[in-house]
Amino acid sequence: MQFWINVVVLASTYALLAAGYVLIYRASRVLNLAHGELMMLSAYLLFALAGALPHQPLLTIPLTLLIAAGLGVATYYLLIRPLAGRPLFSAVLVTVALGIMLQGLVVLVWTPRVQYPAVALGITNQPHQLPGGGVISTLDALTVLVALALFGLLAAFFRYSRLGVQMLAAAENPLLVAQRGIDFHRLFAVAWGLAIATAALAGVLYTLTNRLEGTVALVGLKAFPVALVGGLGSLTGALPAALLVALAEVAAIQYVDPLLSNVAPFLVLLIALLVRPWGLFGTPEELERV
Amino acid sequence: MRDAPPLPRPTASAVYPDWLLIRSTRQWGTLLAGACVLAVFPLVAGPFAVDLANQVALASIGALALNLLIGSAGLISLGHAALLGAGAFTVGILVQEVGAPAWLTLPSAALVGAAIGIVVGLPSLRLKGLYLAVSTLALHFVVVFIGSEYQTQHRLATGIVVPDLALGPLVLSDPRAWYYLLVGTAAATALLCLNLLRTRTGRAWMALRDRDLAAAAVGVNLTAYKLLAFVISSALTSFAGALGAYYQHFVAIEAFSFFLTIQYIAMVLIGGVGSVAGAIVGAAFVVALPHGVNLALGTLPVPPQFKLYVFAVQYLLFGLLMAAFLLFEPGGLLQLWARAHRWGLALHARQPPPTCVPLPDGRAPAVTRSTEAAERAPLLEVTDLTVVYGGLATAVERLSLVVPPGAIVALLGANGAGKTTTLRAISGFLPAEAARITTGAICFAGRTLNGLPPDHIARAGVVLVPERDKIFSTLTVEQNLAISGRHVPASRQAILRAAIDTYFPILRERRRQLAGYLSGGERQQLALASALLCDPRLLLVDELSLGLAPTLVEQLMELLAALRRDLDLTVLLVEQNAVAALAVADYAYILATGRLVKEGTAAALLADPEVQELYLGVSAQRRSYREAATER
Repeated sequence: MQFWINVVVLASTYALLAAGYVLIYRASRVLNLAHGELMMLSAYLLFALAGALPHQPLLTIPLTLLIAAGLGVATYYLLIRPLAGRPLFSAVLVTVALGIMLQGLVVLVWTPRVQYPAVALGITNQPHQLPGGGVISTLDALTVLVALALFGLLAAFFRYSRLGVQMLAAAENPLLVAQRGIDFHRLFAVAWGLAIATAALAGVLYTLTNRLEGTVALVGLKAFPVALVGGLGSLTGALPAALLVALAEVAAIQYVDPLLSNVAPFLVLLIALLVRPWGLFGTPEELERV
Repeated sequence: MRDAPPLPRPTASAVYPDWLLIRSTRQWGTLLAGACVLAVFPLVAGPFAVDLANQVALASIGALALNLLIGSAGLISLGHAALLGAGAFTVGILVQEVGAPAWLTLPSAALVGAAIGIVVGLPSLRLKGLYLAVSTLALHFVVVFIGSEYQTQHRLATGIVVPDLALGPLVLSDPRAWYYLLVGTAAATALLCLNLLRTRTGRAWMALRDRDLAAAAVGVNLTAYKLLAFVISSALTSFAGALGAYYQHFVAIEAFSFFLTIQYIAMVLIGGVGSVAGAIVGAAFVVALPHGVNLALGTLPVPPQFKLYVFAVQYLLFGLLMAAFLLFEPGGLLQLWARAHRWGLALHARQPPPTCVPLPDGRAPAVTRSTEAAERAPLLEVTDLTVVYGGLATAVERLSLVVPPGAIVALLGANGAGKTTTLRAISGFLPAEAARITTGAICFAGRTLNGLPPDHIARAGVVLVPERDKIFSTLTVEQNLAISGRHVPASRQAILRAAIDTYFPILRERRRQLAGYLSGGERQQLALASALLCDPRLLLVDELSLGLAPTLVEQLMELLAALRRDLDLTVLLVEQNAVAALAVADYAYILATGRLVKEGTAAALLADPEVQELYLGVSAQRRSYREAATER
C-alpha cells in the first residue's frame, strides 16, 4: 500500500513537470532542458518571498507562480524566439545554457546550503493514516490533487477557451495562424508562461515536502522521460507515463538499488525509444516533426 | 552598394587538385612556422604553461569529435562527458582488473566508444532531429551510475589510480613528453576531421545538417551516415577520455559530470560550430577560462560569495557565454575575429531597407498595360523582387508585378517556377523558411511589406490561402472559422459571416466535424472561408486547383469571381492549371525558373499561340516548356 502511495505521489510531481515539457514542445518544438532549473529557481523565489513575508503562503505562493509565468514568457522572447530559423540544436543548447546559468545564479544568491521553505512559510506537514494501511502527508495529498486539477483545467482550457484553441492551432501550424492575423509568438509565449508556472507549482510542492537545494533541478530533468514516454505532443499521455516512470523508479529504489533513482526514468526512456519512440499517446507521424 | 571584398588570390597556378589541403606557398609557410613554434614551446615555457597546453590539446581532441557531430552532421549529443568517462573507465577497469598495458587499453577505449555509439545511436538515429540528444542524455545517467557502482563495489571511493602511459619502451612521465604526444594526437585528429569533411561522407553529413529531407531526396542514406558520424565521434571521444585518464593518473566518476558535457558544447559554440580551427580555439578558451576567472576574482572587488563559490561563477559565465554566442555570433570566436577584420567594410555593406515610393499620379511604372484596371493605382506592387533560399538557391529573380484593385491577377508557370515563393515573400513567411529577400520592394496600398511579420501583413489586409496545410486538421470546422478575423470589427464580421453562410453552405453542415476529415474540395472551401473572415483586401490563393476534380475547380473559380464582386476583393492567384485560371483572371504573368517570361491580359494570353502550346495544351504534341525553350 505504502509502495503505491509513493508511486502516485511521485507520479503527480512528474505529471506536473511533464505537462510543462509538453506545453513547450507543442508550442515551439523545443526540448526545454532548463525546465528543472526554472522549477528550482521558482522554489528559491518562494523561499525568498517567504523571508520577506513570513507565514503567508496564500499570498506568496500565487505570487511565485505569477513570477514564474513571467520568467517563462521572458525566456521565450529573449532566448527562443530570436533563434527561429536556426538549426534545430540552437534552441535546445540555449536552454542548456540557461540551465547552467541558473545553477550558478542560485548558488551565488542563496548559497548551496540546504533550505527548508516549509519552515519559512510556517507550514506543517501532517501524516494521515489511510484506510488501506498506508500513510500520506498533507502536502503529498495536495500534490496529487493539484496534479489532477491541473490536468482537468488544461483539458478544459484547450477545449473551450479561445486562447486554448488558438494555441492548439498554433501548435499545428504557426504560419497559418499568422495568416489569420494572430501573432503566434504571443501564443507561444503564453505556452511558455503556463509551462513554467506549472513547473513552479511542482517545485513549490516538492520543496515544501522535501527540501530545497541545487540538486532539486534533477527532479525536473527526470520528468523529461515522462513527457517523451507519454508522447511529446500529448498532455493525456503524460498521466499514464508519469505513473509508469514513477513505478519504475520507486520499484528500483525499493527492490534493486537506491542509486538507481536517477537512472530509472532514463532507462524507461531508452526502452521507450526502442519500442515506441512516439510515446504512449503520440502518433508515428509526430516523429517527423521533431 | 560596395563591391564584395576581393577574394584572396592564389599564388601558384590557378587550378588545384581537390584533395590538396594546403594550396599555396604562403599556407605552407604559415604551417611550418606554426609547427616550429609548437615544437619549441615546451622547451622555453614553464611547467604550468606546458600543463595548460597539454590540457588544451587533450580538450581539442574531444572538442573536434563533438564538432564533427554538431558542426558537420547537425546532431547534438548530451552524452559527451559519458563517452569521455566510458573511455577513462575502460582504462581504469582494465588496469585495475588485469593490469593491461596501454597498447591494449587505448584501442579498447576507442572500441568501447564506438560500441556505445552504435547501441545508443541505432534506436535514436532512425528518428529525425533531437532524439540523439535525448538518448545521449539518458546515456549520461547510465554511465554515471555504472561508474559509481564500480567504485563502490571495489571500495575505490576516491577513484582508480592509473600508471604512467607506457608505449613499448617509451614511458611518458614528463609533461614535455606528454606535450608532444598530445599535440601530435590533436593535430592528427584535426587532420582526420578536415579530411573526413572533404570526402563523400563529409559532404553527406553536411547535406544532412542543412536539410534532412533534401539529403534523403538526393539519395543519402540518412540513418547510416548519421550513425557513422556518431560512431566516429564517440570512438574519438572515448579515446580522448582514455588519454585523459593516463594524463591525470586517475579516474573518478565525479569528474564526468553534466557540466563537463556543457563545457565541451561551449568549446564548439564559442570556437565556431562546424570549424576545425574553431574547435581548437574554443578548447583553448574554455581551458583558460577558469584561470581567467580566478585571476579576475582575485583582483576585482566582488562580493565575498563569488570567491567562496568559484564554481558557481563559472557556471554563470559558461551559461552566459554560450547563450551570447548562440544568439549573437553563431559563427563563434573565429567569425568574431573575421568580423573585426572587416569592421569598416561591414559598416558600409549594410543596405537600407527598400521603401515604397508613392508614384506621382498613382500610375504603375512604365510597363505597357492594356487593361483599364491597370491604369488605376495598384493595390499591390512588387518591384525587382529576388528571393534566395538558404543563401544559395535563387527561387525568384528580379520579378516585378502589379495587381490593380478589384482585379483577379494570375501568376502561372510550371512546378518550381517561383510562384509559391513569390506569394510567401508577399505574406512574410520567408524568415521562417531560411529564405531571404535580397532585392526588391513589396508595396501594398502604399505600405512596405518587406520585413513585416506575417500576422501584421495579414491584419493589413493581405491574406494567403496556402497550397498545403491550409486548415487546422486537429480543430473542428467551427473552431477553424473562429480562429479567423479577431481583428475585424464586429459589423464587418457579421457581413462576412453571412456571405460565408451563403457561399459555403457545406461548412455549416459540417461545423462540428474535425477539419481533418473533410474532403479535398471541402478543405479548400474551409480554407477560403477562413481567409475571407480575416477581411482581406488582397487575397492570395496558392493552387486552388491542386488535387481537385476539374468540375470542382471550375466551380471554385466561379465562386472566387463571385466573391470578388460581392466582397470587393482583389485576388492574386497562383496556378499551374492555366486554363482554369485564365477563365477568371483579368491579367496574368507567366514565370519560368524564377523569372518573368510573359505577361498580358487573359484574352491576349489565351490567343497567344506559344502560350496555347506550352500552358494550355492546345498543340497536338504537348511538350514541356523547358524542351521548347532549349530548342529555340
